[in-house]
Amino acid sequence: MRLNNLESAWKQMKLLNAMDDIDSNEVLAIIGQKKNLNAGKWQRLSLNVIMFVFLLIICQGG
Amino acid sequence: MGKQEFIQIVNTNRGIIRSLCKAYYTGTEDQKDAFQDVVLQLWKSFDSFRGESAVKTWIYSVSLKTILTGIRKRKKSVLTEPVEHQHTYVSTSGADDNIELLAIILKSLQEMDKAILLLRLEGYRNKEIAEMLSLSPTNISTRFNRLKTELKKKFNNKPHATKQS
Repeated sequence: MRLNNLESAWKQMKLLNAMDDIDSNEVLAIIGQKKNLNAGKWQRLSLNVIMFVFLLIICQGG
Repeated sequence: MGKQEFIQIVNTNRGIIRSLCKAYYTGTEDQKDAFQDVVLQLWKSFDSFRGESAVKTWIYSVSLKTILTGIRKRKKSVLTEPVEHQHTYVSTSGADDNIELLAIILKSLQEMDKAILLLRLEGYRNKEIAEMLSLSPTNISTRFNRLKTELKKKFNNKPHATKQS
């Protein structure tokens, strides 16, 4: 077994996997997830801050 | 740099990204998930990519790091069958033999060894691989030498390792 053979095999493998184009909309949809993830992160953070402040007020009152 | 340029880069390098996903995941759904993870990570690091390294190097680096992190996170058992169980799948049809042999070898390797082998096949040197995988060059060199010895031992005497016409 020679690495040269595997090098050409890897090249061929890449060519085979490049045969179908990627749909731009698919990439745009994947990229769009980033915004949603960030939105979710901020939503969770805001909720946690509100809960924390609420608990702080309640505890001080007691 | 805008979305259109990013899409173009992904499209140009789709063969690399898809091949890496297929090298690590056997299920179609897993491969799709991995592809999405890689594209998302590429997009996240797209702004910080200033072209200091070649686009291909950036693609390999981000893709492999994403895939390796994903595997560690999910603790998914990636197929690592013993070679002895796999060589029966190999056909003896000329040029395709090498592709099948590579596929078998990849399936039999641990994640990091697989990354090292693929980067070596792409023509990267130990120092470059070390930077891409955040390991030391000595570590890469040791792992690669051990890998070569193991592969020679496993595949030099196998019937599919020789060309049959």
